[in-house]
Amino acid sequence: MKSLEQINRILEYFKTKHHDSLEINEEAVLASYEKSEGHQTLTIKVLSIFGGILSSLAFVGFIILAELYESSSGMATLGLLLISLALWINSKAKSTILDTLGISLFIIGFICLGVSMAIEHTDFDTFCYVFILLAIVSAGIAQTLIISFVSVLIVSGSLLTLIIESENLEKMHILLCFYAVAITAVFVWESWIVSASPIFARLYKPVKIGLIFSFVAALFMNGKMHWFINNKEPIWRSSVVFVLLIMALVLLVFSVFKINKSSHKIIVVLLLLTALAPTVLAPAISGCMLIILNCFYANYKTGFSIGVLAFIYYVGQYYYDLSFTLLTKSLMLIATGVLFLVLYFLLWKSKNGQQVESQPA
Amino acid sequence: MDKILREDIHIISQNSNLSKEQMEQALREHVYPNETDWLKMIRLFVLSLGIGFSVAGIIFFFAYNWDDLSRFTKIGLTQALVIVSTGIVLIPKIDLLIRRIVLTAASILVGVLFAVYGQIYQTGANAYDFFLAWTISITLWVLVADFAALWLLYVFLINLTFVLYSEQVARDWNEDFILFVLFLFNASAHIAAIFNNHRKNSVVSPAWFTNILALAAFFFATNSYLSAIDDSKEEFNLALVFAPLFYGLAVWYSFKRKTIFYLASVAISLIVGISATVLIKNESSSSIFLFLCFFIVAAVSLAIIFLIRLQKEWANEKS
Repeated sequence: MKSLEQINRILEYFKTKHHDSLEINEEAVLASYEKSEGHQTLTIKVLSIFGGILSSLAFVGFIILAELYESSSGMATLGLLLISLALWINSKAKSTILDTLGISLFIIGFICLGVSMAIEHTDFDTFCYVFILLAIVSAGIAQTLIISFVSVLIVSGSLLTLIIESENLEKMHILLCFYAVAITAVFVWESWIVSASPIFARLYKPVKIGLIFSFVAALFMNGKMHWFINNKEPIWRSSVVFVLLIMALVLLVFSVFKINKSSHKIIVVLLLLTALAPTVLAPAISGCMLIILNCFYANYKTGFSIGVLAFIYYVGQYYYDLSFTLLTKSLMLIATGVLFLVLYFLLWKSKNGQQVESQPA
Repeated sequence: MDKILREDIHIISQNSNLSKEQMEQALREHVYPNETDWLKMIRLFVLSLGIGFSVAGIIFFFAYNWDDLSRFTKIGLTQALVIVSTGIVLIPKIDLLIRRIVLTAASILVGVLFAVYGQIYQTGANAYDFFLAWTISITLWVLVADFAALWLLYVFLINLTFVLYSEQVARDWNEDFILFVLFLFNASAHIAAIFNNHRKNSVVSPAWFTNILALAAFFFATNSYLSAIDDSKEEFNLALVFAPLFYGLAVWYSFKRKTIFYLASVAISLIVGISATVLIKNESSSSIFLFLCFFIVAAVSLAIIFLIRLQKEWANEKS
């Protein structure tokens, strides 16, 4: 939480840095800090989401016991009313305090709508399209962190459901490539997106974290679909896009290390391609590496942690699913481990070598 | 000058004529990692992959050759791993953090050793015997290393040993007592960690470690309460005395250290407890669920209002 003095110091810093050419609307800055303060800590966010989920469950219990689910039109009306009310609360109240109420109503509204469509035996595709449309409109209207985040999850969940239902692996690869490109764009073009328009700026955070969760879930479902569907669709198609994006990010990182020589760049790229080649048959692994690299590039700790946890899971899953004997798997793992340890010691030696060189004689 | 965060840059950008190039520069200077950060991350990532893959490979190797190995080879190999990893820990030239990580790996390998021993000799021991032996064996290492991850493993093992003992040996213990002991243990571990942080010249536990211990204590306290409100039980649940004491301490500590984590945890625990009480003490009807829905929304909203106000007050006091 920032105090007024801290905010003023930050404003002063920016003015001095840009030689007073920077025009800042200080009242608007203070109002923005006031509004955003409640969202700063993870604890408050968790409390909000906990309240939303628990109250939604209680409301679902009410609907079941009151047998309200028997009327599809009643449920649909209730659902739309609750979603509208949630958006109204978020747009009019402009208060972080009513977030819990808004989130609860939002989730319950979608549940009611889903139940009404299930009663009517609505076509599955229509079900998903309605959800996608409503979620996109809701995110655009609300523009708050948690409702927009939930909206992104609803959109991605509906897209995944459509693809799983159609058993179309080609569409899954397209979706994965879309997520990969979107995540990279969101992290690399952060300044462009945030400064482009106030709406983009407000939606930036929820869309960013929503995309990461959606991507990880899609990678999981991709693996399962390839396992269960007897299809000749090659699994590596999306991996190629992931590897290319990783290479693009690495080229950006060269500027951090001030690597300018083309020969050095080519060597690093070739080494990385060699290291990433085995992951082509495991898009989940290269996908997680893309998340980790993007999040570290932009110093986004939450996404980085999610990426690392997902990476550990998918690497384990990959080796578990390999149709080799345990002996072959063990030798592969040990060889890979030894390679990385050798690389670590080379890096450690170079670090110590640099430290020795930099010390005065 | 206070550290400039991403949110500060975003807010300034949205309320000024800061260009996207200027914003990009500000992000690079204050938010994005520099060369040193990248090198540190790459080294840690590569080391973690190296250790992770090697350990996994060793485990797979054992799994493959298991039936063909003689019992002496099986135990010998596992013991050799434990000895080698412990040997590495004794080399002073190696970075302290790495030695602590290796000792944590060695502690896990002790469990593997006991599992191998139990499997070979078919000792017929209960699972709790295994976890008890594992816990006792690594106690000295845990005390010497003073490493949060190893302490967490140790606390987890103690919890697991107790639960298995209650399921396999002390079957006459009632659920209330088991939950109370688990709550008491985790609460004590948490309080001990906090005390240790305030001692001079001691290694300060990271926040994630004390928070996990606190969450475990709150979890068992809440479960103790839920178990206690069951009408059929005649025994008095000691958790009904000690849990409020712990909650009181947590609230006091929250105000002392100006952190909202404990207050939020108490709020969640109380809301769950009250909701469960209403459900259990009344017949399940639609109106009860509707009441609970509104109650939860109101309670969480009030908790958030209170916590935000506290955060603002504390932020202003600090400056």
